[in-house]
Amino acid sequence: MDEKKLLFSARDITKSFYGTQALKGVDLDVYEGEVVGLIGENGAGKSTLLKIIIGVQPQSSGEMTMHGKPFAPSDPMEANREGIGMVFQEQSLIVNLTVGQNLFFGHEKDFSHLGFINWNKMYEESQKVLDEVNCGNINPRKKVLDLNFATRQMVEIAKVVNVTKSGHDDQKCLILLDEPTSVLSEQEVQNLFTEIRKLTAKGHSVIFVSHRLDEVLEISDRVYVYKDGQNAGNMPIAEATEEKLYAAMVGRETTTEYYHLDEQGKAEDDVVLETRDLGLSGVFKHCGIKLHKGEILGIVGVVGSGKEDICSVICGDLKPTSGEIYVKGKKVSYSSPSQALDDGILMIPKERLVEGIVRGLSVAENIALSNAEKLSEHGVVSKGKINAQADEWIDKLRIKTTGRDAELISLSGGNQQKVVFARALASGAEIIILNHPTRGVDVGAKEEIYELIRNVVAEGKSVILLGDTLDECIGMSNRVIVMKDGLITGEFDADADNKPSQVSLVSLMM
Amino acid sequence: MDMAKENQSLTIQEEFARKIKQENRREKIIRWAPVFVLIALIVFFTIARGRAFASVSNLVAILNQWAIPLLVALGLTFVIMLGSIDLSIDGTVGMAGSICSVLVMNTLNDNNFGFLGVLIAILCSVFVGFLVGVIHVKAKVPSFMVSFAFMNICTGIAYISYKGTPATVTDPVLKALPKVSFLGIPFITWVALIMLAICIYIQEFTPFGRYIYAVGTDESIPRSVGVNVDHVKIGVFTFAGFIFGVAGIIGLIRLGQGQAGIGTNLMFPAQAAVVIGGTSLSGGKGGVINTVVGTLIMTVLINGLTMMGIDPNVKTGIQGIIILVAVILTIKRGPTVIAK
Amino acid sequence: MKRRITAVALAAALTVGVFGVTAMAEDWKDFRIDPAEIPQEKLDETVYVACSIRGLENPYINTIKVGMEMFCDYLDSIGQKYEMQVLDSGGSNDTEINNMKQFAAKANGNAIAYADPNESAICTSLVEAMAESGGYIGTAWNREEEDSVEDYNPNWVIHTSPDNVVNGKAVAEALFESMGGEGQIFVLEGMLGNTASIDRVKGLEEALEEYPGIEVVAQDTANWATAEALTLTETWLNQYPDVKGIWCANDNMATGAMQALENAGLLGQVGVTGIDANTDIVQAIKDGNATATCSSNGYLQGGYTLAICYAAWAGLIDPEELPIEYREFATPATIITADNVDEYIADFIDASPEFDFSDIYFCKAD
Repeated sequence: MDEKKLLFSARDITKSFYGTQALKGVDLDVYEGEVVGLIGENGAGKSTLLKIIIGVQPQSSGEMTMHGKPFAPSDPMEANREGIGMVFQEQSLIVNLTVGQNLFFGHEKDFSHLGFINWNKMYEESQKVLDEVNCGNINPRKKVLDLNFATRQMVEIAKVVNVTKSGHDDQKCLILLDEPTSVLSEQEVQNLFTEIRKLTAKGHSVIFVSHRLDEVLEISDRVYVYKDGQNAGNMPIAEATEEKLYAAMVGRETTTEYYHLDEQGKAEDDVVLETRDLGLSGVFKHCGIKLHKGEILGIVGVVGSGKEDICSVICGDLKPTSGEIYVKGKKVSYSSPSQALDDGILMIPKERLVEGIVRGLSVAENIALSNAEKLSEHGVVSKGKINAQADEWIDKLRIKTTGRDAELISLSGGNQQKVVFARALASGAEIIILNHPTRGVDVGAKEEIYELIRNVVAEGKSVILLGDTLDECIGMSNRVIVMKDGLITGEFDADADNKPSQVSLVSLMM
Repeated sequence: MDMAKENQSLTIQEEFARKIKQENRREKIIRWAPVFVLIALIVFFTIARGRAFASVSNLVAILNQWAIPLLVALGLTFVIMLGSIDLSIDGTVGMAGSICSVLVMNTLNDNNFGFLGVLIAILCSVFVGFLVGVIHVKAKVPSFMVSFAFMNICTGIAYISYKGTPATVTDPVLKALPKVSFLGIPFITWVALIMLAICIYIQEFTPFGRYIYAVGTDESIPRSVGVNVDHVKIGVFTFAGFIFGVAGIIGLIRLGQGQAGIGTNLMFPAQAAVVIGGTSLSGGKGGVINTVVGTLIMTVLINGLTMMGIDPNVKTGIQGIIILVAVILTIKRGPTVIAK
Repeated sequence: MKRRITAVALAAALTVGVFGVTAMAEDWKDFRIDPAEIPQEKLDETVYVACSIRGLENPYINTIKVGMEMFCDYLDSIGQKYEMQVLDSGGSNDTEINNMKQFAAKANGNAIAYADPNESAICTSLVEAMAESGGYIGTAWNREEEDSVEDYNPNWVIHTSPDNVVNGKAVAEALFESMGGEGQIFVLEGMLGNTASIDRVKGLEEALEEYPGIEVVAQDTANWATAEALTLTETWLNQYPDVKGIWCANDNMATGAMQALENAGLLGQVGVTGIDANTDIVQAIKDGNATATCSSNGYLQGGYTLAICYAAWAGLIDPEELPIEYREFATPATIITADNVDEYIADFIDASPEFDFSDIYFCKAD
């Protein structure tokens, strides 16, 4: 056990993007022939670290070594040469090419003679590569287009193994797998694990990132837990239990003032929105949700759990394939968000900068975007009414701007978000879906946004909150629903004086 | 309780798998749709016009009329596979034909460069393609803007080359070529077929062909293995320029006279042909064989409608409707697989 | 020794105006520009000269530009300062109107222009652009029937047109005669909806009534374009191998039809006619491969329209005083057949035609 050789190590890696620190100094050691599991909440820094290791982006500070030598790849090719390869979360195969062509993409010169590629030779080699990862049953002449996702995943892995080994057969490799199981079925996951074990038996190592704790526990030899860009634990699998890992993953419970808990009211009994057995084929199903007047309902779950898709269905962006939606007791069926808005349902999108605002327009015009019709006479928009409305909201939400005519782009992130809020409130929406309302805004602005949400529900409106962190969701909500793999796995009351623990939620999420 | 949960979650997985399977099946049907459209057109016109349509001489006429649309669409295919567009066609083709007409033996001046003249004209067109590519890539100007500008530039160069009075070619070799045929197939169609073979070779047998697909699918993929994406793009536009140049020469041979009009109204039918053939405007999908089918659909359609003797005022409209139907049948529609 | 082409007498004035034919009209026919009458300050003023056309790819249209250049040589000869410009619309209505507006604005009243409106509908827009700036314009070919030059006094000086109906009929008759009065023909029309094409086809139809032995077996538009004419003819020849003649609404399309005949080995055996007198068609008539074409004489149209506008700008004539038949009239056209093709080549192709632009009404058909 102790004679295991260190293959890769990272020390005190930090990374900051535009002022926010994604990694605040993390460590990672990988020994030859082991699978290292890497877990953490969304935004804990797992993906960022992988991207640094593979050379897609450089770290801000910290050192890495590979094979005992300093390692600082400037691009993925250099990482490949050192024996590190990565299967990205998004598929990186060219679907209109064959398996073999994908395996040797960028290395065609090895097979060409006088400008002609010797396909037979390439496919023979491809077969060898596939055999190596025990996927000899995949026909290298088949187009990737015609393969299912599991097989594609195996081709990706074969490709990565191949490029990392090219040239020196006895070199030990490190394969990074980022959420490799998210599109696989149970059986396919088992096959994948079998292949991973074969790889490690040959002395190669794997870093395995997944939201699914049970899978991590099954395949890993050692587990690292990251939280908020920092190490939160590192234990051999024998010592790791689900409880321990949950406890390590979740953050500190924040102060009550931060979420204005003293202002958290009681929801009324009136149900303003209800879904019955709602489903979207292949994404989520059997979802029954009740939202009361004056309530903040938090929905938590990992990426791909279906929580965002439910909101998209409720606000009319997607059509459900099963189940019903009732708004104030009336059955509804929307084919567009504008129909939903007529019933008072509005979603504030996550990608504020892309979906939510018009950067070139002024603050006043942005606020008026969703209700310009109401402000117009005979089809002509009244400038005066737009300005009056803007002044009202700038004052009410304390939006920091040089004036109502300032271009939205000149405002800070938090204040842009407030403008988006103002627009939602001006539209007269009664049910507001907030999709990560505090993403990318600083701490001070966050607190103001929390206060804003409290004020909104105090006026009798209802909110569905997809929080940026678990802590935020629990802190803000009256009730929290937990989702996993498209199903509701739990529901918790979250009164101001009786908040559920993060651990209890996480255990249902992963 | 746990078992029930497992089962339910499996169902979602199964739903997802079924959805993907359905998409794949539809994709396969759509892949063959252009061929069905072509067969349907041929069957229809044969029934409607019988021997006149299905005659050997009309077959030769169709092959003749197919040559230039095929050439132009071939050049465009690779560009579209990149996810770019080339609007310069009308100008480049007209320019190559016009320049060639005043360099070989002609009625306008005393030049007699013969084959060298042909070569120079094609090189001009290659150079234009290269410039379109370089400016598009290096100055990061959208390809449709750059190529549109070059359409005008090249049309201007064409006018200047013959100063308003088109030159009729008197070079005996070029003059004889429209009548030359081999195995019953006209010379100019042979040229197009040779170009087709070159394109198939590039697409199927060279690394360059793989890179075109890759750049069209997702630029970051080739970049991550060290492929110079800019060079691929410039190469594709330059090659397109070459093909357009050849098309210009063929147009000149066919018409016997060099004029900017050789290239007029080639671009949009070519684009329609490429798209009908199943090459996606977003790139990464389709290819040369699709374009062969697409251009045949367009050529057969126009030939057949002409034979039907439909009132010209109505014909243009019918043509448009059939193109629309073909596109609807052959283009992939609906939301793509929702990535979980 | 300069031979004179006999201009075929075409229909007289398009419209007989309210003034009727008077003795005074005869005086106008003899009007000459006398440079001595032009004030020196007018000669020193730059006059902006333009022709607004559809695109130089058409050889006929190119002769209009050359006509303008010839007229500018004349301006040189009388010591007039000028600036010359081609306004190329590329076949777009908007472009043509915008070009004219910019030109008029630049010239600020000191403008004379020849305009071939892309479509009838934009004729008055072009005139208006010029009238607003105080310049002088003469239009040719296309205008709406109800438009009159008197609506824009004095700036819309003249509107002229070769008589398309007459020309279309004349070449058709030449074709039918060469066929012995019977047999199948193809008809290649110009752009759909274009006045010139419609009128020429009307002339063809008139001729068809007089020759009952002629049968139109295929008729379609080739959009004035050589390549499209080639494709259509190629297709038709498979269907009607016994065709004896091809009537084309212009020479560009006749070139395409002849190329198709050549490819099919039928050149010289099937009669081809066009209109415009492109050099290659004239040569083909000489070689016996084409039957007839019609010269609208673009040199004359371009040059003399500008000459009349110049006389108006210089104050030598007052358009408002001109009888209507001196403002709206047909320009002479020449039907070229094997009979007179040598003469035509000698005058217009081997030599540049020479015109006396002081004789401004030389361009008016009798």
